[in-house]
Amino acid sequence: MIDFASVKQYEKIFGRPKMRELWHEFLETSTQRWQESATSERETLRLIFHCFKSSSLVFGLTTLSELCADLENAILAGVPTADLRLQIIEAHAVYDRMVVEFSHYLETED
Amino acid sequence: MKILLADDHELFLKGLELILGDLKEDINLVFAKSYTEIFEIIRTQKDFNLILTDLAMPGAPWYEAIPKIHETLPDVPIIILSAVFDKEIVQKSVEMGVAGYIPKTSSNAVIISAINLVLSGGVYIPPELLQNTKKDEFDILKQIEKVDENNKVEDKVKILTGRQIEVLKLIAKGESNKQIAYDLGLTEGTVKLHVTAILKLLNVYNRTGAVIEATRLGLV
Repeated sequence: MIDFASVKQYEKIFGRPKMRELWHEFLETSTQRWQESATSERETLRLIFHCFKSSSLVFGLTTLSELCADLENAILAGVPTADLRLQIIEAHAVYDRMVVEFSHYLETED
Repeated sequence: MKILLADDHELFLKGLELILGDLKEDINLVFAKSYTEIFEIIRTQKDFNLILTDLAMPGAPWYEAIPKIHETLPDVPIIILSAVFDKEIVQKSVEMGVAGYIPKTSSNAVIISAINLVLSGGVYIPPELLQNTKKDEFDILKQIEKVDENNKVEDKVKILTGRQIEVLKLIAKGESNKQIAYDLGLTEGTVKLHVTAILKLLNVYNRTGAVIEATRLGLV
């Protein structure tokens, strides 16, 4: 579920064309980050989810943002990263689903 | 033009880069993601025209970081672009020497206008904040909020104060805000407020425009 109120707010700031550019930027860096998340050490992993947490909000991906916030907090609380694998896979699946939904929104809405 | 751009939200920083790309062609952006990075950058680089920064960032509390930045680069205008929109914080930051406070909910057009205003030596305070302030707060700027936008410039300039005419004359001589403040015995912050009012009332976007318009109207 995309938070369109949040999307509209960011669109007001950046405008639709720049939102598209930001979306492409987000997709590019996200692909790299998901790959890194499979092998990264704790602090790198925390930073990955910290960045996902804020960046995903620009596109109204609140569910993803919340999952990433949970992951960041779990890492900060000292939970072993091996115990977070399932949560990471779940976050990745949510990301994949939301990417399709938001891409569709950008292609169809104007 | 060289601008230091700081925000710990990386995608927002990227978005700002895209917006500022529309401001001028020859723009040199330097990025920071924390106050710690800002301090490191301004230790070695002093030639910025503007610092545009988020308020709440890692590295230091804002009320310690902003004065430190201003102390290191006293002549470089600072604009805060923040999701925090609290009257006391805005006032406090202006007292600390901040030249502009832009809420993060502002449109890109407002962000660009505010930057242009500050680069011209003015101060940008969100209009919605001015409407809710008490009598003595930001009085100079409240004067311009009362003006009907549809009035002719010839009518609007009638509410320029004697002090503002003096400031205008010194702008026409090419003086900086600091020199004007010294000449008139004012603080630099007050001069910035007068410059903001002058630009708004003359319906121009920078000091050069103000001088041209003031000359046309016989004010200088």
